[in-house]
Amino acid sequence: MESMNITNAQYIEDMDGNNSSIKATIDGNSVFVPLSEGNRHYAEIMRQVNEGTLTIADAE
Amino acid sequence: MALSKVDPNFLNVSQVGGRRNILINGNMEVNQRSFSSNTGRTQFTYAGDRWIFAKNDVVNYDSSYNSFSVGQTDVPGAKAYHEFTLNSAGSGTDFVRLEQRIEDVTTAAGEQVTLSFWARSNTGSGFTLDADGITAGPVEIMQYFGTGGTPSSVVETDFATSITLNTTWTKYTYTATLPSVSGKTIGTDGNDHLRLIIGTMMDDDAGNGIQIAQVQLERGDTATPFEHRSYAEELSLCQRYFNNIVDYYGTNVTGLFMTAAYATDNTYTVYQYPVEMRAPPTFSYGGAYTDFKSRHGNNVTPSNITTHGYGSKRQIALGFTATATAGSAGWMESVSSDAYMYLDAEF
Repeated sequence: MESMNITNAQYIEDMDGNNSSIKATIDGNSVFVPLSEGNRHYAEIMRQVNEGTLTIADAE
Repeated sequence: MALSKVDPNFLNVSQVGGRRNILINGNMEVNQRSFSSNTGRTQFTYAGDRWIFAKNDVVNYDSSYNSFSVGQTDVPGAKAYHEFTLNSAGSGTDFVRLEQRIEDVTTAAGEQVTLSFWARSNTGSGFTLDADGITAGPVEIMQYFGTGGTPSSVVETDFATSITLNTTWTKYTYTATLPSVSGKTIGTDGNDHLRLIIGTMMDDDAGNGIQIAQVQLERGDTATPFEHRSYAEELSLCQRYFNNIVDYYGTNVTGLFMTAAYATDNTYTVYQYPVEMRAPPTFSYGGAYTDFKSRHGNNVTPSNITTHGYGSKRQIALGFTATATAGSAGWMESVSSDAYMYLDAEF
Protein backbone atom coordinates (compact mmCIF):
# COMPACT_ATOMS: atom_id res chain seq x y z
CA MET A 1 0.00 0.00 0.00
CA GLU A 2 0.94 3.63 -0.03
CA SER A 3 3.96 4.70 1.99
CA MET A 4 3.06 7.92 3.78
CA ASN A 5 5.14 10.55 5.54
CA ILE A 6 3.49 10.67 8.97
CA THR A 7 4.47 13.04 11.79
CA ASN A 8 2.94 14.60 14.91
CA ALA A 9 0.71 11.62 15.64
CA GLN A 10 -1.27 12.07 18.83
CA TYR A 11 -4.33 10.37 20.31
CA ILE A 12 -7.53 12.36 20.84
CA GLU A 13 -9.77 11.43 23.74
CA ASP A 14 -13.53 11.35 23.77
CA MET A 15 -15.51 13.05 26.54
CA ASP A 16 -15.07 10.00 28.74
CA GLY A 17 -11.28 10.10 28.46
CA ASN A 18 -10.88 7.16 26.06
CA ASN A 19 -8.65 7.29 22.99
CA SER A 20 -11.07 7.70 20.07
CA SER A 21 -9.00 8.95 17.10
CA ILE A 22 -5.53 10.10 16.08
CA LYS A 23 -4.54 13.56 14.92
CA ALA A 24 -1.53 13.47 12.63
CA THR A 25 0.22 15.22 9.78
CA ILE A 26 0.23 12.96 6.73
CA ASP A 27 2.13 14.08 3.64
CA GLY A 28 1.92 17.63 4.93
CA ASN A 29 -1.82 17.62 5.66
CA SER A 30 -3.35 17.73 9.13
CA VAL A 31 -5.88 14.91 9.43
CA PHE A 32 -8.04 13.14 12.02
CA VAL A 33 -7.87 9.37 11.68
CA PRO A 34 -10.43 6.97 13.17
CA LEU A 35 -9.23 3.87 15.00
CA SER A 36 -10.44 1.55 12.26
CA GLU A 37 -8.38 -1.08 10.44
CA GLY A 38 -10.34 -0.50 7.23
CA ASN A 39 -9.13 3.11 7.09
CA ARG A 40 -5.93 3.31 5.01
CA HIS A 41 -4.40 6.06 7.13
CA TYR A 42 -4.92 4.13 10.37
CA ALA A 43 -3.53 0.97 8.76
CA GLU A 44 -0.39 2.85 7.70
CA ILE A 45 -0.01 4.54 11.10
CA MET A 46 -0.12 1.17 12.84
CA ARG A 47 2.26 -0.37 10.30
CA GLN A 48 4.80 2.34 11.05
CA VAL A 49 4.20 2.01 14.80
CA ASN A 50 4.79 -1.74 14.60
CA GLU A 51 7.97 -1.15 12.61
CA GLY A 52 9.15 1.23 15.31
CA THR A 53 9.38 4.24 13.01
CA LEU A 54 6.42 6.14 14.47
CA THR A 55 5.20 6.85 17.98
CA ILE A 56 1.73 8.07 18.85
CA ALA A 57 1.79 10.62 21.66
CA ASP A 58 -0.71 10.41 24.49
CA ALA A 59 -3.71 12.69 24.40
CA GLU A 60 -3.30 16.07 26.05
CA MET B 1 -34.84 -15.15 -30.56
CA ALA B 2 -32.00 -17.15 -29.07
CA LEU B 3 -29.87 -15.27 -26.56
CA SER B 4 -26.83 -15.95 -28.71
CA LYS B 5 -28.36 -13.62 -31.29
CA VAL B 6 -28.58 -10.63 -28.94
CA ASP B 7 -26.34 -7.87 -30.21
CA PRO B 8 -24.52 -6.40 -27.19
CA ASN B 9 -24.57 -3.00 -28.88
CA PHE B 10 -28.29 -2.87 -28.18
CA LEU B 11 -27.82 -3.50 -24.47
CA ASN B 12 -27.12 0.19 -23.93
CA VAL B 13 -30.65 1.27 -24.76
CA SER B 14 -32.62 -0.32 -21.98
CA GLN B 15 -32.51 -0.79 -18.25
CA VAL B 16 -31.50 -4.41 -18.62
CA GLY B 17 -28.25 -3.16 -20.07
CA GLY B 18 -27.47 -0.98 -17.05
CA ARG B 19 -24.85 -1.52 -14.36
CA ARG B 20 -22.36 -2.94 -16.81
CA ASN B 21 -19.42 -0.75 -15.78
CA ILE B 22 -17.82 -2.16 -12.64
CA LEU B 23 -15.82 1.05 -12.28
CA ILE B 24 -17.13 4.21 -10.62
CA ASN B 25 -16.61 7.58 -12.32
CA GLY B 26 -15.37 5.87 -15.47
CA ASN B 27 -16.22 9.03 -17.39
CA MET B 28 -14.15 11.02 -14.85
CA GLU B 29 -16.67 13.86 -14.47
CA VAL B 30 -16.85 13.79 -10.64
CA ASN B 31 -13.98 15.71 -9.04
CA GLN B 32 -14.91 16.53 -5.43
CA ARG B 33 -11.32 17.40 -4.52
CA SER B 34 -11.27 20.01 -7.32
CA PHE B 35 -7.96 18.47 -8.33
CA SER B 36 -6.37 20.30 -11.26
CA SER B 37 -2.67 19.54 -11.50
CA ASN B 38 0.63 19.17 -9.75
CA THR B 39 4.24 19.02 -10.87
CA GLY B 40 7.24 17.19 -9.52
CA ARG B 41 5.04 14.96 -7.39
CA THR B 42 6.73 12.13 -5.48
CA GLN B 43 3.71 10.84 -3.51
CA PHE B 44 0.39 9.26 -4.43
CA THR B 45 -2.16 11.67 -5.89
CA TYR B 46 -5.88 11.17 -5.29
CA ALA B 47 -7.25 12.99 -8.32
CA GLY B 48 -10.72 12.88 -9.89
CA ASP B 49 -12.96 10.75 -7.68
CA ARG B 50 -11.90 7.09 -7.40
CA TRP B 51 -8.81 7.64 -9.59
CA ILE B 52 -5.33 7.46 -8.10
CA PHE B 53 -1.93 8.25 -9.53
CA ALA B 54 -0.09 5.50 -7.68
CA LYS B 55 3.65 5.09 -7.47
CA ASN B 56 6.28 2.81 -6.04
CA ASP B 57 9.42 4.07 -4.28
CA VAL B 58 11.39 6.76 -6.11
CA VAL B 59 9.48 8.57 -8.86
CA ASN B 60 8.91 12.15 -9.92
CA TYR B 61 5.90 12.87 -12.09
CA ASP B 62 3.45 15.54 -13.21
CA SER B 63 -0.27 14.87 -13.22
CA SER B 64 -3.42 16.73 -14.14
CA TYR B 65 -7.18 16.51 -14.49
CA ASN B 66 -8.56 18.16 -17.61
CA SER B 67 -11.97 18.82 -19.09
CA PHE B 68 -12.73 18.14 -22.72
CA SER B 69 -14.02 21.07 -24.74
CA VAL B 70 -17.78 21.15 -25.16
CA GLY B 71 -18.89 19.28 -28.23
CA GLN B 72 -15.59 17.51 -28.82
CA THR B 73 -15.85 14.36 -30.90
CA ASP B 74 -12.44 12.76 -30.32
CA VAL B 75 -13.84 10.69 -27.43
CA PRO B 76 -17.62 10.72 -27.85
CA GLY B 77 -19.46 11.62 -24.67
CA ALA B 78 -16.31 12.03 -22.58
CA LYS B 79 -16.27 14.92 -20.09
CA ALA B 80 -12.74 14.79 -18.67
CA TYR B 81 -9.48 12.91 -18.72
CA HIS B 82 -6.50 12.22 -16.46
CA GLU B 83 -2.96 12.83 -17.61
CA PHE B 84 0.44 12.02 -16.16
CA THR B 85 4.03 12.40 -17.31
CA LEU B 86 6.96 10.55 -15.79
CA ASN B 87 9.85 12.90 -15.13
CA SER B 88 12.16 10.33 -13.58
CA ALA B 89 12.13 7.04 -11.71
CA GLY B 90 14.61 4.90 -9.88
CA SER B 91 15.69 1.64 -11.42
CA GLY B 92 14.10 -1.73 -10.68
CA THR B 93 10.44 -1.68 -9.68
CA ASP B 94 9.87 2.06 -9.28
CA PHE B 95 6.87 3.19 -11.28
CA VAL B 96 3.89 5.54 -11.62
CA ARG B 97 0.49 4.61 -13.06
CA LEU B 98 -3.24 5.32 -12.97
CA GLU B 99 -5.33 3.05 -10.75
CA GLN B 100 -8.88 2.50 -9.61
CA ARG B 101 -9.42 0.24 -6.60
CA ILE B 102 -12.67 -1.72 -6.76
CA GLU B 103 -14.20 -2.77 -3.47
CA ASP B 104 -14.29 -6.55 -2.81
CA VAL B 105 -11.57 -8.79 -4.21
CA THR B 106 -14.13 -11.47 -5.10
CA THR B 107 -15.64 -9.20 -7.79
CA ALA B 108 -15.79 -11.12 -11.08
CA ALA B 109 -13.42 -13.80 -9.77
CA GLY B 110 -13.23 -16.74 -12.16
CA GLU B 111 -14.95 -14.72 -14.88
CA GLN B 112 -13.92 -13.09 -18.11
CA VAL B 113 -13.77 -9.32 -17.90
CA THR B 114 -13.33 -6.78 -20.68
CA LEU B 115 -11.59 -3.44 -20.28
CA SER B 116 -12.03 -0.55 -22.69
CA PHE B 117 -10.60 2.95 -22.51
CA TRP B 118 -9.35 5.82 -24.65
CA ALA B 119 -5.78 7.04 -24.47
CA ARG B 120 -3.08 8.92 -26.32
CA SER B 121 0.49 10.12 -25.93
CA ASN B 122 0.93 13.72 -24.75
CA THR B 123 4.49 14.09 -26.04
CA GLY B 124 3.83 14.79 -29.70
CA SER B 125 5.07 11.36 -30.72
CA GLY B 126 3.96 7.80 -30.07
CA PHE B 127 5.68 5.37 -27.73
CA THR B 128 5.30 1.85 -26.38
CA LEU B 129 5.06 0.74 -22.77
CA ASP B 130 6.06 -2.79 -21.83
CA ALA B 131 6.33 -4.88 -18.68
CA ASP B 132 9.97 -3.97 -18.01
CA GLY B 133 11.23 -5.24 -14.68
CA ILE B 134 7.96 -6.04 -12.94
CA THR B 135 5.81 -9.13 -13.06
CA ALA B 136 2.91 -7.73 -15.02
CA GLY B 137 2.23 -5.60 -18.07
CA PRO B 138 1.40 -1.90 -18.30
CA VAL B 139 -2.34 -2.68 -18.36
CA GLU B 140 -3.35 -5.21 -15.75
CA ILE B 141 -5.69 -6.06 -12.90
CA MET B 142 -4.57 -7.09 -9.43
CA GLN B 143 -6.49 -9.16 -6.88
CA TYR B 144 -5.46 -7.68 -3.52
CA PHE B 145 -6.56 -9.75 -0.54
CA GLY B 146 -6.02 -7.02 2.03
CA THR B 147 -4.31 -6.85 5.38
CA GLY B 148 -4.98 -8.27 8.81
CA GLY B 149 -4.60 -11.91 9.71
CA THR B 150 -2.84 -13.97 7.04
CA PRO B 151 -4.30 -12.90 3.71
CA SER B 152 -3.27 -14.52 0.45
CA SER B 153 -0.67 -12.82 -1.73
CA VAL B 154 -1.72 -10.58 -4.59
CA VAL B 155 -2.53 -12.14 -7.95
CA GLU B 156 -1.78 -10.10 -11.07
CA THR B 157 -3.42 -10.70 -14.45
CA ASP B 158 -2.30 -8.95 -17.61
CA PHE B 159 -4.68 -7.24 -19.95
CA ALA B 160 -1.71 -6.38 -22.15
CA THR B 161 2.02 -7.06 -21.95
CA SER B 162 2.66 -3.93 -24.00
CA ILE B 163 0.69 -0.97 -25.28
CA THR B 164 1.55 1.50 -28.01
CA LEU B 165 0.25 5.02 -27.50
CA ASN B 166 -0.52 7.19 -30.53
CA THR B 167 -0.72 10.95 -30.69
CA THR B 168 -4.44 10.77 -31.47
CA TRP B 169 -7.13 9.50 -29.13
CA THR B 170 -7.45 5.75 -29.66
CA LYS B 171 -9.81 3.24 -28.08
CA TYR B 172 -8.14 0.19 -26.54
CA THR B 173 -10.00 -3.01 -25.68
CA TYR B 174 -8.71 -6.04 -23.81
CA THR B 175 -10.26 -9.21 -22.37
CA ALA B 176 -8.80 -11.35 -19.60
CA THR B 177 -9.97 -14.06 -17.23
CA LEU B 178 -9.70 -13.27 -13.55
CA PRO B 179 -8.46 -16.24 -11.50
CA SER B 180 -10.84 -17.91 -9.09
CA VAL B 181 -10.46 -16.94 -5.44
CA SER B 182 -11.43 -20.39 -4.22
CA GLY B 183 -9.09 -21.38 -1.42
CA LYS B 184 -7.81 -17.84 -0.95
CA THR B 185 -7.85 -16.03 2.39
CA ILE B 186 -9.14 -12.46 2.66
CA GLY B 187 -7.57 -10.19 5.27
CA THR B 188 -9.56 -9.11 8.30
CA ASP B 189 -9.08 -5.34 7.92
CA GLY B 190 -11.81 -4.87 5.31
CA ASN B 191 -9.55 -3.35 2.65
CA ASP B 192 -9.43 -6.14 0.02
CA HIS B 193 -10.07 -4.98 -3.53
CA LEU B 194 -9.49 -5.37 -7.23
CA ARG B 195 -6.93 -2.92 -8.55
CA LEU B 196 -7.28 -1.80 -12.16
CA ILE B 197 -3.93 -0.53 -13.44
CA ILE B 198 -3.39 1.49 -16.62
CA GLY B 199 -0.17 2.89 -18.07
CA THR B 200 2.57 1.68 -15.77
CA MET B 201 5.67 3.77 -16.59
CA MET B 202 9.14 2.93 -15.31
CA ASP B 203 12.62 4.43 -15.51
CA ASP B 204 13.12 3.85 -19.24
CA ASP B 205 9.80 5.61 -19.91
CA ALA B 206 10.94 8.93 -18.45
CA GLY B 207 9.75 11.85 -20.54
CA ASN B 208 6.66 10.01 -21.73
CA GLY B 209 3.15 11.05 -20.80
CA ILE B 210 -0.32 9.57 -21.18
CA GLN B 211 -3.85 10.96 -21.35
CA ILE B 212 -6.61 8.50 -20.37
CA ALA B 213 -10.40 8.89 -20.68
CA GLN B 214 -13.71 7.03 -20.49
CA VAL B 215 -12.72 3.73 -18.87
CA GLN B 216 -15.08 0.77 -18.62
CA LEU B 217 -14.54 -2.63 -17.00
CA GLU B 218 -17.32 -5.14 -17.49
CA ARG B 219 -18.08 -8.81 -17.16
CA GLY B 220 -17.91 -10.89 -20.33
CA ASP B 221 -15.74 -11.02 -23.43
CA THR B 222 -17.29 -8.10 -25.30
CA ALA B 223 -16.69 -4.38 -24.98
CA THR B 224 -20.14 -2.82 -25.05
CA PRO B 225 -20.74 0.91 -25.61
CA PHE B 226 -19.72 3.10 -22.68
CA GLU B 227 -22.40 3.14 -20.00
CA HIS B 228 -23.37 6.74 -19.24
CA ARG B 229 -24.82 7.31 -15.77
CA SER B 230 -26.23 10.61 -14.54
CA TYR B 231 -23.91 12.95 -12.60
CA ALA B 232 -26.09 12.61 -9.51
CA GLU B 233 -25.89 8.83 -9.61
CA GLU B 234 -22.13 8.84 -10.18
CA LEU B 235 -21.58 11.37 -7.39
CA SER B 236 -23.56 9.23 -4.98
CA LEU B 237 -21.45 6.19 -5.86
CA CYS B 238 -18.27 8.23 -5.33
CA GLN B 239 -19.42 9.48 -1.92
CA ARG B 240 -19.04 6.00 -0.47
CA TYR B 241 -15.30 6.67 -0.73
CA PHE B 242 -14.91 10.44 -0.49
CA ASN B 243 -17.11 13.38 0.46
CA ASN B 244 -16.44 17.12 0.57
CA ILE B 245 -18.93 18.56 3.06
CA VAL B 246 -18.35 22.12 1.86
CA ASP B 247 -19.87 23.40 -1.35
CA TYR B 248 -19.20 27.15 -1.35
CA TYR B 249 -21.08 29.51 -3.63
CA GLY B 250 -19.71 32.88 -4.67
CA THR B 251 -19.50 35.65 -2.11
CA ASN B 252 -22.36 34.40 0.06
CA VAL B 253 -21.91 32.34 3.17
CA THR B 254 -22.87 28.68 2.90
CA GLY B 255 -24.45 26.94 5.85
CA LEU B 256 -22.89 23.57 6.60
CA PHE B 257 -24.76 22.10 9.55
CA MET B 258 -26.54 22.93 12.79
CA THR B 259 -24.47 23.08 15.97
CA ALA B 260 -25.24 23.03 19.68
CA ALA B 261 -23.18 24.76 22.34
CA TYR B 262 -21.99 22.27 24.94
CA ALA B 263 -20.22 25.00 26.88
CA THR B 264 -19.45 28.69 26.52
CA ASP B 265 -16.53 28.01 24.20
CA ASN B 266 -17.42 24.71 22.52
CA THR B 267 -20.01 23.84 19.89
CA TYR B 268 -20.68 20.41 18.38
CA THR B 269 -22.47 18.76 15.52
CA VAL B 270 -23.08 15.24 14.29
CA TYR B 271 -22.82 15.18 10.50
CA GLN B 272 -24.72 12.43 8.68
CA TYR B 273 -22.99 11.26 5.49
CA PRO B 274 -25.00 11.31 2.23
CA VAL B 275 -24.37 7.56 1.87
CA GLU B 276 -22.80 4.94 4.09
CA MET B 277 -19.04 5.08 3.57
CA ARG B 278 -16.78 2.12 2.88
CA ALA B 279 -15.01 2.53 6.22
CA PRO B 280 -14.90 5.14 8.97
CA PRO B 281 -13.30 8.07 7.10
CA THR B 282 -10.34 10.30 7.80
CA PHE B 283 -11.45 13.90 8.43
CA SER B 284 -9.50 16.95 7.31
CA TYR B 285 -10.31 20.59 6.73
CA GLY B 286 -8.85 23.72 5.18
CA GLY B 287 -7.75 26.28 4.28
CA ALA B 288 -7.82 28.36 7.54
CA TYR B 289 -10.06 28.85 10.55
CA THR B 290 -11.05 32.23 9.06
CA ASP B 291 -12.70 30.37 6.18
CA PHE B 292 -15.38 29.21 8.64
CA LYS B 293 -17.77 31.06 10.96
CA SER B 294 -19.76 29.92 13.96
CA ARG B 295 -23.08 31.65 14.50
CA HIS B 296 -24.66 31.34 17.94
CA GLY B 297 -26.19 34.78 18.20
CA ASN B 298 -22.76 36.00 17.13
CA ASN B 299 -20.34 35.63 14.24
CA VAL B 300 -17.15 33.99 15.44
CA THR B 301 -14.13 32.47 13.77
CA PRO B 302 -13.42 29.08 15.39
CA SER B 303 -10.00 28.68 16.94
CA ASN B 304 -10.00 24.90 16.66
CA ILE B 305 -11.81 22.14 14.73
CA THR B 306 -11.60 18.52 15.78
CA THR B 307 -13.36 15.17 15.67
CA HIS B 308 -15.12 13.69 18.66
CA GLY B 309 -15.77 10.09 19.54
CA TYR B 310 -15.14 6.99 17.48
CA GLY B 311 -15.33 6.85 13.71
CA SER B 312 -18.39 5.53 11.98
CA LYS B 313 -19.40 4.61 8.43
CA ARG B 314 -22.57 6.72 8.77
CA GLN B 315 -21.82 9.88 10.73
CA ILE B 316 -19.10 11.86 12.44
CA ALA B 317 -19.09 14.13 15.47
CA LEU B 318 -17.22 17.40 15.03
CA GLY B 319 -16.32 19.99 17.64
CA PHE B 320 -15.48 23.67 17.27
CA THR B 321 -13.82 26.00 19.72
CA ALA B 322 -15.89 29.15 19.43
CA THR B 323 -17.65 31.39 21.93
CA ALA B 324 -21.34 30.69 22.39
CA THR B 325 -23.99 30.66 25.06
CA ALA B 326 -24.06 27.21 26.64
CA GLY B 327 -27.13 25.30 25.52
CA SER B 328 -27.79 27.52 22.52
CA ALA B 329 -28.35 26.31 18.96
CA GLY B 330 -26.63 27.76 15.93
CA TRP B 331 -24.82 26.72 12.83
CA MET B 332 -21.42 26.52 11.16
CA GLU B 333 -20.86 28.12 7.77
CA SER B 334 -18.12 28.45 5.20
CA VAL B 335 -17.22 31.96 4.06
CA SER B 336 -14.49 31.33 1.50
CA SER B 337 -13.83 29.32 -1.63
CA ASP B 338 -10.73 28.01 0.16
CA ALA B 339 -12.87 26.19 2.72
CA TYR B 340 -13.18 22.42 2.58
CA MET B 341 -14.01 19.55 4.90
CA TYR B 342 -13.00 16.16 3.52
CA LEU B 343 -14.15 12.73 4.56
CA ASP B 344 -11.84 10.14 3.00
CA ALA B 345 -12.53 6.40 3.02
CA GLU B 346 -10.55 5.53 -0.12
CA PHE B 347 -8.35 2.47 -0.30
